[in-house]
Order: sequence, then structure tokens, then C-alpha cells
Amino acid sequence: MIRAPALRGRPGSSSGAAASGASLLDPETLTRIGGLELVARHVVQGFLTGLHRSSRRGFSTEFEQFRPYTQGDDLKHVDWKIFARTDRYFVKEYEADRNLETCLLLDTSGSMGFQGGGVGKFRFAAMLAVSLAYLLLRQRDRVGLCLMGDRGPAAIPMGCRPGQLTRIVSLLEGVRPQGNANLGRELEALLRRQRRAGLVVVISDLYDTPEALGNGLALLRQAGHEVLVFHLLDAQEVEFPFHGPLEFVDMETGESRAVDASQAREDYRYQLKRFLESTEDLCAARGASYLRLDTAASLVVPLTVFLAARAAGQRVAIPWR
Amino acid sequence: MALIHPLALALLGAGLAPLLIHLLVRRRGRRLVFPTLRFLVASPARRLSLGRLTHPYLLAARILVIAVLALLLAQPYGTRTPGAERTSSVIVLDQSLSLQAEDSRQSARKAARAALAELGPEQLAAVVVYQGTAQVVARLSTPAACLEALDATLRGSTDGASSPGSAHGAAGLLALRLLQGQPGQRQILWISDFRGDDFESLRRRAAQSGISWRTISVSQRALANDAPAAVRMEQGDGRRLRLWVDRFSDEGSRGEELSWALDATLPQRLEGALQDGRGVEVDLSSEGAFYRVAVALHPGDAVDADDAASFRIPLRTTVRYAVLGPDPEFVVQALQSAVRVNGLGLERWADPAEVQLLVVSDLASASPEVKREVADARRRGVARLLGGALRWQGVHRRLARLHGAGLESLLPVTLHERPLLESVALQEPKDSARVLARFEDGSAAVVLASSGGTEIVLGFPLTGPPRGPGLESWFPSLLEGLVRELIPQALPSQAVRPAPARRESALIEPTPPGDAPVVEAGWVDPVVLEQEGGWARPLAVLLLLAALVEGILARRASVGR
Repeated sequence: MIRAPALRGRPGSSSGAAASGASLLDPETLTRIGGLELVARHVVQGFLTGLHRSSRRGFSTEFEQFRPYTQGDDLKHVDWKIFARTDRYFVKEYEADRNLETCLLLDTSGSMGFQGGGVGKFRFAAMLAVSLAYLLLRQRDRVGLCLMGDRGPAAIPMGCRPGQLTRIVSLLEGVRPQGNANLGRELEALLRRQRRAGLVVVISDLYDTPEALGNGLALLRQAGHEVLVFHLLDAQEVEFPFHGPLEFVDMETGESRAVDASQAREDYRYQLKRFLESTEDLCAARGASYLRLDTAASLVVPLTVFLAARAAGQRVAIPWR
Repeated sequence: MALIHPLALALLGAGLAPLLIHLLVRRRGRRLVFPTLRFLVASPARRLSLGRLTHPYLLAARILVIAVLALLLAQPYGTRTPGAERTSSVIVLDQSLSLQAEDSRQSARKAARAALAELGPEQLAAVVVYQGTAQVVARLSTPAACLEALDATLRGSTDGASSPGSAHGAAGLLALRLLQGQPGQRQILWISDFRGDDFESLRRRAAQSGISWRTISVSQRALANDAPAAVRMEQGDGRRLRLWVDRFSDEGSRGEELSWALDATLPQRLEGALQDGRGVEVDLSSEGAFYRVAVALHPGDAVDADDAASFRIPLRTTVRYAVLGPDPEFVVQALQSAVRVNGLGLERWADPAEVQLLVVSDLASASPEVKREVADARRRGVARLLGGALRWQGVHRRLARLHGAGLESLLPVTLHERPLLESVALQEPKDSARVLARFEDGSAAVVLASSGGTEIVLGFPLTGPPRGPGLESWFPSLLEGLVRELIPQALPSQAVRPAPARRESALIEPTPPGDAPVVEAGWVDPVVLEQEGGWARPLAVLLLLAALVEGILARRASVGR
């Protein structure tokens, strides 16, 4: 298990270069930048200094190993100097430049439209998705986008062409979260489209049944996908800072419920805590990396976790503050 | 307390609006979209019942603000009518040896009973009887109780011999002590033959304590001469000289009242007024600030000097001099003049200490010296300070400054009363006005206007064109309102009388009464409107601020912060 680096910076919360960079990447600051593409460039160029490596070996400039020649190998890869010394045929292998295929799975259900006081859950999710896409495309990896909502599948196929980021941004700019999402069904549909193993990044508030979420994650893992789950929550969802009698309206179903917020606060927090713990355990059980984020957190955190997960291929656990 | 606009109280009903809004909004609860309801359990209906208010202080502040605003619009005021207050009286009855004659003693007792009977049931009375010693017969209680106690005491002492001496000093002290600290008007009614005793020090002490002094004289000498009548005199209120002549016969007694107003024209009016052949002769002579009245009862022809009982009457005529005008210098001049009685034609009228000034001014532009002068005059009790405010003419903004100047009350003034000023016709040479003093340029400084039993002395600028800038718009209306308050009844139209000749160099020149109609010098005290809403404005501002702060805090504590 990987412990996330201490980069969960809030503006002015810490000192040093990391804190300074984090403050530049906090959602409030990024919102003032403008478009998602520009946000992504700002985030990635300001954050990333190295490259991630491919997990596949190939023939490139970086030497990997020697192996005995087998029938079918191209003779141009045979190392003739070793043949002169040992009178045996060896093939020289290099680290492959094969592209990583990453699918960004973004929840567009109505609950993602909640905006307590910050930038809002969907805006945060969009900024995170575009930043990841820009990061991947910058490495010439293939990236695709799939929206999970009740308006039918909307997706940008895998690609690494220069216009891919623009297409992703255009799709996200036109989306307004609404309706109800079925995470399990969407994950199954993704599995049908994405047969080649890769990385699946789920950005959602995960308001679905645990069974559906668990089944979907299990299917993805069985197909060889690496899954990274970003669980988005607004600060007001966690703290529940409401008072007095209120009529709560469900953003997905439209159902309303009269609640005395002052009296229901403790029970709400307890139920939410249980939900978060069970979701995290579910992800761990299905071999998916799980990271809980609130919309006021810096984008440095998910990017760091993403690279860490990509490099180590291990599950990531971030202690919730 | 009364209201100028009682209909505005209907706005009090609007105070229910915040309550209804509060309950209706709270009953349903504020709508709030939320990502999911899976962690929320519906609250039982009783938790959202009407019995629990979410922001009671905020609700109370809102209701209170509306109530205060309604009261402000209604403009409450109180009426203070002099004389309506409760009067505390102490009757001091002389039973000393000088009243040995049974008839004289009975006459004194009868006068005491009559005095008690005259008091209303709501008044308080006490009785002190003295001869060689002084005794409190009845402490302050109802007149009926005092009468009962007096009768019981006198019945017990009918056959007893009187102790020698006259403890009138002790009796006076007892009377003063009984009245000490009593609210309202206080008076001492002394029934005696007033022979051989000096009451002047007691009278002065009573005056210093604000206690009026009335006397009923029982003339022993007249009775000793077998005169069929007795006279008692009262000058207690300082406004009128009253003589009661009781004539006795076999059929009983018959009272007759002779009454004259105490003012500068009294000697002229008494000259010949009492030579009426009714057995009473009055001789009036002047002694400084006092008149000496010698009264003789004589059934026969001539007045026997030995039979004359003399009374020294302080001329307690209260001259209320209304200084109307915002000119601070003139206010000071009038204050100093009136206090010194060195001008304005007042010196013939009154004891300086009895002069009262009615200063009507907001003193808003007055210098600190002027305000000190006014405050000093008020402290000495020679001046009252009334203020006026023109309603709805921006003068309400002056109210705080008016109160800051130490005003006793406020007079609301309305513009529609302007024609009244013209009908009053105070400016020279209008009919009902009499110039008492002039400025050096000859214009009227002080004018006496009279109507019926009411008299008002008005000063600049009502007597002349306004001189200060910006005063034309509102100050005449203020004066109109004042005149309306002081002279409630319409002034009768009278024939135009030529103005008296002016003296070029005279600053102060009293106008001789001439053939002016005799008026009573006493004033009918005006019913003064006391604005009671002065506290409401700052209170309303405080409540509004409190409601605003409370609202902000409640907003922050509520949804969507």
C-alpha cells in the first residue's frame, strides 16, 4: 500500500515549494484560469517534471536485456559482437515505447452537480479528468473519456492525436450533471468497449449500490485493467453544517424529505462514515486503488497518486483528513 | 397618554406578519438540493411543529421594530394639566386664648370644617391644632377622615381650658413636616385671628418649599364689637384677593365673596369698589413688592382704624413671559431683563422671584453662553423651556438637538394653523395686542395679547418680521402652534385701537394700561403636549441594527454559507 505524499495542500496551509505549488493548483485558483484545457496545461506543466515509464518491454533506445534468438526474430536485432565472442545468437531488447491506454470514467449524475461552497463536484471532476488527459497525451499515451449518466453513453474513443484533448474538453464543457447513474452497468459497458487491458480512472461520488460497484470493479480487474477510483465529496456533504428544519431534495431522483438538520447531523455523519469505510473496503477487496477527495483539495494530490499508482501498480490509500 | 394619529396603531397588526412568515416558512422548511438522501432520515412531524421557534430573538426583534414604528407614527403624547394633580393640604387651626370668645372659636372651627368640606374626596388633608402646644389631630388622609378626627378632638376639648401661649411656630413646623416630600400641589391653610403672632418667617419657609400659603382670618374684634359679620381673607393662590363676608342673623349665616384680581390695576379697581355700603371697607397701600390690605368691618358709618385688620399680601402674581424666538441674543436679553425686572414693564407687576419665563426656542444655534444662561434660569426656577417642532417639515431631525438643549416638552406644529396667526393679530397695531416693550428702532419687542381669561406675552419675532435667515419657513408655524396651545379659544375681534406713541430712545417702555379692558393677570396654564416618542427613534435604530446583525448571524448559521 502506498501512502500518498503530503501534498494535500490548501491555500496557505503549509510552507515551502510544495505548498506554494499546491496553492497554485487549488480548485479555486484554477477556476479563475478559464477553460479546462488551459487548466490542464497549467496543472500538468506546473506539476510534472518527469515521465512515467511503460510496463511493456520493446525495442527502443533504452537497453533492457539480452535473450537468445528464436525463430521469427528480426535478424537486425541480433547482436553480432556477442556472436563473434560466443558463437551463439542473442537478441538485444530495449524498453518499449508502447502507449498506455487510459479510460477516464466520469460520473455525470445529478449528485455530481452539488456545489456547496467551492467549485462544485462536477467542475472539480472535469478539471481532474482534463488534467489527467493532458498528462497522458503529453506522454503520447492513448486516453479516452466515458461519461456515466442516464442520457446514454457518451464517450470519446481512445486516441493520442493532438485533437484528442480538445475533443475531451468540448464534451465536458457541454455536460450538465443530471439524472441517475448506474456505476455497475457503466463499468460493464466499458469492459465491452475496452478489451485491451489498460488503466481505468473512475471519478465519481459513488452513490450507487455497493453490489453494483463491486461487480463492475471485479469485472475490470478480471480483464486485466488497473482501476483507480477518485471518490469526490463536497465539504458540506461531509460536515453537514445545516441547522433547523429543511426540506432536502435529492438531486438525482427529485425526492424530497423534511428533516430537522440540527437533530439529524450526528446520524448523518455516522451513516456517511460507514458508507465511506465500506466503499474503501470494497475497492480494496476488488484490487482498485481508492482516493477520497473533497472539492477544496489541490489537484496535486490526485495527480501524484495517479503517477504513483501507475508506476507501482499498487493500491493507494490516502488517509482521510 | 394620547395619540396624535391613533389610526397608525392599526399598523401594530403588521407585527403579526413576521410571526406568520416565520411560521409558514419554518413549517415547510427551506428547500435544499442535496446529492443524496440515503443518509437522512425524515424528522418526525412533531419536531417541525409550530411550538418551537427557530430564531426567537430575531422574530421578537422584528415584531418589536414594527411595533415601535407604529408607535412612532401614532405620535404618542401626554397631557399635563396643572391643577389636575392631587393636592395635599394641612389645615392649621388656632385655638389659642386670643380666641377666647366662644363665637370666635366656633367661627374658626366652622371655617376649618368648611375648608375640609371644600376639598374633594381625592385630595389629602391633615389637621394641626395649636394653642399652648401644637398637636397633629389628623395626618394626611381623606378630608372626611380629617373632619371626623377634628370633630372628635374638638368635642373632647370643648369644656377644657386652653393652655396659655401660642405655639404657632411649632404648628407651622408640624405642617411643613407633614407636607414634606408629598407629590403634587401642597398648601397650608391657616385659620387664626392672626393677632400677636408673626407668621412671616413661616410663610417664607413655606414659599421656599414650594408650599402655597392660605389664610382664613377670624376677626375677633369685629365679633367683640358685636358686629353682625365676620370677614376672612384668602390670598393663597396669589392671583386673586378674595374676601368672604359672613353675615350672621337669627336665621343663620350668609356668605358673600368679594374677589379682585391681584395685578397692577388692583388699587384703581379697589378705589370705589369697596365703598359699597356693605359694611366692608378695604384700604390698599403698596409696600414694595407687597400690598398691605386693611379690612374693616363696620356696621355703622365710619371706619374705625382700630377695628381694621390688616393683611400683608405678597403680590405673587406670576408673570409668565413668553420669549418666542430663535434669536439667542434676545433670549439672553429677555432672561436677564426679566430676572432683574429692570425693564419690559414688569417691575410694577411682580416680585422678581415670581417671574417665570416661557422660553420657546430650540436654541439650536445658540452659543454655549446662551445655553448656560438658559440652564441657569431653569435651575433657579424662573424659566421654563419649551421647544417646538414643525411636523413633517424636517424639524423632526432637530428633535435630538432640542432635547439636547434641555427642553421640557415639545409642541407639535402644523402648517394648516397658519391662518390662526393672522386672526390672532398680534402685530402692532392690531386690536388685541398691547406693546409692552420696544426695541430701540421702535419695533415691538414684547406684546401682550389677551383673550377672555387668558393672557399671553409674546416676544420677537412674533411681534415683528422674522429677522433670522431661513426662519420664515418654519418658525412662524411653530409660533402658531404655540398660540394655539396657549389660547385654545378663538380670539374675539375687537375694534382697532391706535398704537401708543413711541419713544425714540426707549429700549423698554411700558405701555400704560389706559382704558384697556381689565384682564385677569392669572394665566390659564397651557396644556402642554409632551412628546413621548423621543425614546422611540434611538430604540428603533437599535432594534433595526440588532435585527440586521441577528439576521446576518442566522443567515450564516443556516443554509448555503
